[in-house]
Amino acid sequence: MTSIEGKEKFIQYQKKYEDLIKKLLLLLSTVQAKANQYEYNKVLSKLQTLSVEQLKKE
Amino acid sequence: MTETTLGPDSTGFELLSKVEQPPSIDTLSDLKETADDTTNKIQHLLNKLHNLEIPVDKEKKELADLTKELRNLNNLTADSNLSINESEQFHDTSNETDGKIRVQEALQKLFELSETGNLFPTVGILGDSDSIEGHQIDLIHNTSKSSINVHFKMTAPMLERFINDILPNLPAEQLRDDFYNFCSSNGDIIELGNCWMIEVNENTSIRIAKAQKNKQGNQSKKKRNKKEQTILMDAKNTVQVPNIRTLIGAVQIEIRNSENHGETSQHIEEAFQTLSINQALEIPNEEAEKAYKKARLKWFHKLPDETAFEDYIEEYKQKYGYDLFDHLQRQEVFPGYYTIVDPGASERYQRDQEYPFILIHNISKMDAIPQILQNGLFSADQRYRRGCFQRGMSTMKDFDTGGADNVFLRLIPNDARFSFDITLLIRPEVLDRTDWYAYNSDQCGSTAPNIFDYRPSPEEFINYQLKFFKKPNEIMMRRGISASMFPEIVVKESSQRNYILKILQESGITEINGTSIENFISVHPDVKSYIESSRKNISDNNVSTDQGL
Repeated sequence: MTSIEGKEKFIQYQKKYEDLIKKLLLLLSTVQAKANQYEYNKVLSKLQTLSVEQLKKE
Repeated sequence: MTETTLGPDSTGFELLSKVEQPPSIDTLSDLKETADDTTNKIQHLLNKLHNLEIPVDKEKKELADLTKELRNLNNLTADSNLSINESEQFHDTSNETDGKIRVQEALQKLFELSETGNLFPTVGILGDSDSIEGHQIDLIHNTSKSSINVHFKMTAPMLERFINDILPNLPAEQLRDDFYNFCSSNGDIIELGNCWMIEVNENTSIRIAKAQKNKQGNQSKKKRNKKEQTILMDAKNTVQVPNIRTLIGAVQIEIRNSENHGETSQHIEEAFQTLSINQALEIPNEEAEKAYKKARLKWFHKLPDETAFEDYIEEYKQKYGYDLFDHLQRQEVFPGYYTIVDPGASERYQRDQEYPFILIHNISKMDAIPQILQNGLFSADQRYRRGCFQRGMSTMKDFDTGGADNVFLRLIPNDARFSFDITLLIRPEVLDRTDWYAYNSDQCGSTAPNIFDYRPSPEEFINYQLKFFKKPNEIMMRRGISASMFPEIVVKESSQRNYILKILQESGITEINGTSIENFISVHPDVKSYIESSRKNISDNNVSTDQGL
């Protein structure tokens, strides 16, 4: 393999990795949104069960 | 890339304000690492959500597809001539030439060496980045067959890749089942389990150990003469475990008719290419060296993850005032064998005391002493590779457990009740090496995960033994111990000392490491007597030095 062929191949693989990382980061954000929703719901349900006095303490 | 707070080390869920963009990274290895990290983070988060009974089936499927895509891409880059760690090089053809020249120089050196005792000459070179264990490649001149044997071990990921991707694509006419064997200096052959055999060309073959015994469950032996059969019978009696852990990942390339170094190096390169280890003969780059050091530290100190690693480094820096990672060095600790050393570690283990413990190796046969003092202590695997089938206390069992990769030592605290027999003392500096592990009880040096994963760390082991000494404790030092690490032999009886002096004199040995053989061998019934005598000697020396001043 010549240096130029090597460089072309390298750029090709670099692009593939970058595309894959984009997809992975997108999936990560989706999963994290679910996690955030869970945390939000948890806090919300806790708030709904607390009295005004307890809320002041919290 | 920008660090998110999620991942295996994260303590909980936190907001991610925006989708991160892939950073501009130059090397494929960085990109691969980023992809791996992100995959781990997603997996970790999915596990948490799954445990909270939140449905994540769709995301799991998506992750599985992306992981598959990533694996394919990794295989593609590994199979290509592009090194993922050396993107700047673009596999410059000058590197190929350099690699071959390195091998030719090593071969030249190898042919200048003569046999020592019954051992074939050997020269070690460092090569490759991530497919060869410890980057260590051994060239051995089999003088009985006039061939060159190249020995190394594949790393676990490389072995997996070989079995899953490379092996199925090899031409059927090149591949067959055979036995993984060793040849002695007098032409005997001993076979340890099955292997894949690849005939690369008429002069070159490769054996890759399956690390499993043959169908009968025993090691087999070619019946070439009566002596060989004896070896087989011994082996049969000691075989107990179905796997041969020492041979996991073991590879042996044999080059026959190897008088021309240029052709031999060509054949070696061709063999490595057959295994798709295309960078094998190139010097490991800086990045690979760093990755190796880090992996070694994590393995040695039992640091389970990145956080534990960083905490350890930080704690070390605060305690000792320097960066442990920068302090580590690659050194040739045994002829032809290079490993990572932490200079001064043994002083920490000794807690700045004089003789808090001694390290010993028991010698079962006095007649072996001249060879040990000249060549050092060899692991069983090394002895076999170099054509010496001399058996230790449980050699075949050690091949099964994985202990045969090592020389066995024992730690004896200075206040322990321990009687000497024929005991070789080892300098504590040997513990500066980072390629050892230890058990508080006799485990035959096992590397089986159900035992090995629960071994103590070096500090835990030494602390435990100093408090609750257990006689069958064991320290496994990889490959061998150089003769420069031997300060003294202690025997329990004067007759033993006299006999050893006699055989040393007959072998023409008059001093060891600058000490006359008369001073090198002492007689003490037990550790207590030895320690008292040593302290007295130190005290006497100090007095005479003070007076001299």
